[in-house]
Amino acid sequence: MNKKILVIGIAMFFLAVLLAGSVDAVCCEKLKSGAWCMNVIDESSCVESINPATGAKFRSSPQSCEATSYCASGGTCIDSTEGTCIPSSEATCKANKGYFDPKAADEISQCQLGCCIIGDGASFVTQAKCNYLSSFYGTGNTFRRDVTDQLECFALAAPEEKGACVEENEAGRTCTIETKQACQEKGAEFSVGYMCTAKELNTNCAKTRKTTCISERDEVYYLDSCGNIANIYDSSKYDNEDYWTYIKEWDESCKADDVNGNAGSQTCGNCDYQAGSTCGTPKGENKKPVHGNKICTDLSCEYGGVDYQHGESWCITNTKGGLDEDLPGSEHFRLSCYNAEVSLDNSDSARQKVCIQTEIEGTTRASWSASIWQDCPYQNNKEDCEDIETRDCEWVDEEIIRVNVWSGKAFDKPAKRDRDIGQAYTFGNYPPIDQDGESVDNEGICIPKYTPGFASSNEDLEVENVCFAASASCTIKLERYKVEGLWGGSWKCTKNCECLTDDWQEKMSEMCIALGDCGNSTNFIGVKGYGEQVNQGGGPECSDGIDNDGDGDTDYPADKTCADEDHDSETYTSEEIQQMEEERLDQGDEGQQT
Amino acid sequence: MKEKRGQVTIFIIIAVILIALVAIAFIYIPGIRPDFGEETKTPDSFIENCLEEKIEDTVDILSLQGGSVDPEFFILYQNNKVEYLCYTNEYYKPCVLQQPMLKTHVEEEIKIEILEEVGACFNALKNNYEEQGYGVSMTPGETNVELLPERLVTTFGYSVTLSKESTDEYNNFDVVLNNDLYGLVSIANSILQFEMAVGDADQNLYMDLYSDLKTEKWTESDGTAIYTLTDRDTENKFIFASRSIVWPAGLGDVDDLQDPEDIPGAGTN
Repeated sequence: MNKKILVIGIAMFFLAVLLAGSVDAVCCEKLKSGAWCMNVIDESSCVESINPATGAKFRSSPQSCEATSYCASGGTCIDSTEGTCIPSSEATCKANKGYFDPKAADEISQCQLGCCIIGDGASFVTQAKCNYLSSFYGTGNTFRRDVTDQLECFALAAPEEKGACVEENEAGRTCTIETKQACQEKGAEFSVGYMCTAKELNTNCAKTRKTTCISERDEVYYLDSCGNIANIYDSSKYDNEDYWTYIKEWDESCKADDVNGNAGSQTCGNCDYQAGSTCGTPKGENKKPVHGNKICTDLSCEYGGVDYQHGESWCITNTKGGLDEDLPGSEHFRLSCYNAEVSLDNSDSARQKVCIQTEIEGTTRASWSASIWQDCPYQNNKEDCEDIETRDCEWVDEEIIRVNVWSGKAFDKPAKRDRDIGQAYTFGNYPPIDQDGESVDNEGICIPKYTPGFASSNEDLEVENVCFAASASCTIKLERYKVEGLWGGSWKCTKNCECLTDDWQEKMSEMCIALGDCGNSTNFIGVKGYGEQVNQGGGPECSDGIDNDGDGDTDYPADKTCADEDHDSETYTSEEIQQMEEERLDQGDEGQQT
Repeated sequence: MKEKRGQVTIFIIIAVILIALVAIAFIYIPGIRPDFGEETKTPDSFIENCLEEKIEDTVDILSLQGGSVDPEFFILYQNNKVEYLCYTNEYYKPCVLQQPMLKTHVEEEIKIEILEEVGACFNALKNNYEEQGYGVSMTPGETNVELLPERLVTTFGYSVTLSKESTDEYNNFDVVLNNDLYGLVSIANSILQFEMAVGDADQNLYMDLYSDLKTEKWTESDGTAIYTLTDRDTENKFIFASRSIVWPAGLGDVDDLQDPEDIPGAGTN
């Protein structure tokens, strides 16, 4: 019994050593490059000196960072001064002198969010943050822990009523627009809802034609002679006594429902950023307002002769063919119109993200979407192929037939050209062989919906693996009539003759190109690729400049299958061809030729 | 008579020329202005004038570099070192937040950078008043930098006592900059939360909400996103980098770990 335990123990020890040696990654608390909490292959990339934040050595361990205590995500870094709680690892939190809690924020009481009401505003923050904000504004706060929804919190924001705050002093009856509380603190006379220009208040403030913009507000406002902000600019109301007596809200002002936010209006300053306008200085003589020098400026854009509304975005590409034609080197770009400026952001030439453009109620919106295409060739039916929840592929109904020309049998094992990537990276599965030895047709193929690109830094093998999936071979059957004792007549195609047509070759080429930067096509600047697309039968395969069997070796003497330059097959040696010919003659088939 | 009028004309011309020369001398030659008995600068304004430019320059530098004066882990973008605030060296994985307390980090960076200048300015203040015949007593204090909404406040806990005919004490000096770096850092934090969670942030969402904000993003070939946040009113910027949930080109390899040194454009100090 003891011997058994000893043997098992030794075996486990060696197993542990073996496993430890075979661990793929090491977690460095800090890399020499300065990055925190990274998995690396080589431990020498880790910093080994003393961590000034902890006084201990920087840590590293032969496991994934997620398995360590110091670099696992899921913890929270708390800034007690500002009251913020950020998801973080222990290492980065302590390096920044924060307080680290290994629990998630929603499990920590001081990180619970509530509704912070300060003055007439509300924000959904922690209590510590609420106290911080109120100390900044120099006022008290109310923290509602029972409010757990941001929208519910914003609804609690109640603008404090403002009005005319009148003081008697040596200058006479001066007036400012204040809240009731602020006015009472001054010990002044408060009239809620009144403008300083109200006649009954008898102040020394009068109406003016001056206008101004206010930060954090979109509209254009009148100013009174005391410098107070009056109501929204409306030239038709200038002589209206009521308009200079009472404070009016934006929805009581001119054209509050204008769909363009009164952009460019010379008479109304009721701007709306969401609708595409904001207070600003007009450009051009014909845009001057009737009063003052501010106007609702138009935030729309013009690009390429087309007008775009503020907030619209659209997709473009750097190829002439447009977004439907992704050529080698082409990239997708998104253009956006905001504040009368067009800005651009990009994907890359690998097109792992693509720009998708939609139109909603006449407004164009573009967004980035990851293109999940890597498992498209694995899909053997249309339903799985076009499952938009899982992948971005499309099904093409095509028949791809693989037939061994010499035996008349379909391939029942992977041919020489296939790599370790396996059967999946060919169009469909190898067709099963029926009792007569005939192949079964494939129904179609699954290709990427958005043609992916290949980074130039990729090794050629990777590119070849993807492109190889589109390789297609087609065996045709030629017959001629056998006359007793004599060979007569010319060869005529009797099977798979569509492969001799330009249409078939073109379709195969399109599928090749659809898989990625494959095949013989034109790149994004219009430069054509090299080489013939299809061997037109103009010469022996071993001297036609084409890697006919896709094994990476082209022609004689590189391809070892080739006996010499006149050898007509890169796939089969002379001996194999001889053997297949003998089998054919034994079976009594008619002459066949690829 | 005519001769006398000609002489008067010449005298007037000479007088005008002399006045002009004196005015030019006052404007362009320093040190000759007479002391008309105007009050000298107060200690507060002296310190403000001495330190304001240094603080502004420091803020300008670190704003373009992800919040650090001398970034340790960065990517080169338009010849600037832009610090990675969130990063992963792997494919398909979300980034690790490199600066979880970004606001505190920025404050600390500014403080460290200006410390030497603070000492020099207070020494200059002391010397300046002593030259004017004041008795100066100065107690050094702590320097604090605070990012607040729409302003950046730097306070100096120095205590200065000036004695001449009377004794005046000055405490807690401060320099206030109109700069909404606080707002830009807050937006950056929000973007980084998205980067950590889903590997990307749509910068247009912020322009939908904030009329005074411009957000731009540029994606490098290795998947690094460079974000540029601009306050439209002040033109102040904050630029930072993030690399999160990157898909490799072609087939890729799930276990592909990318050494930071191999990243195009990435650099270290």
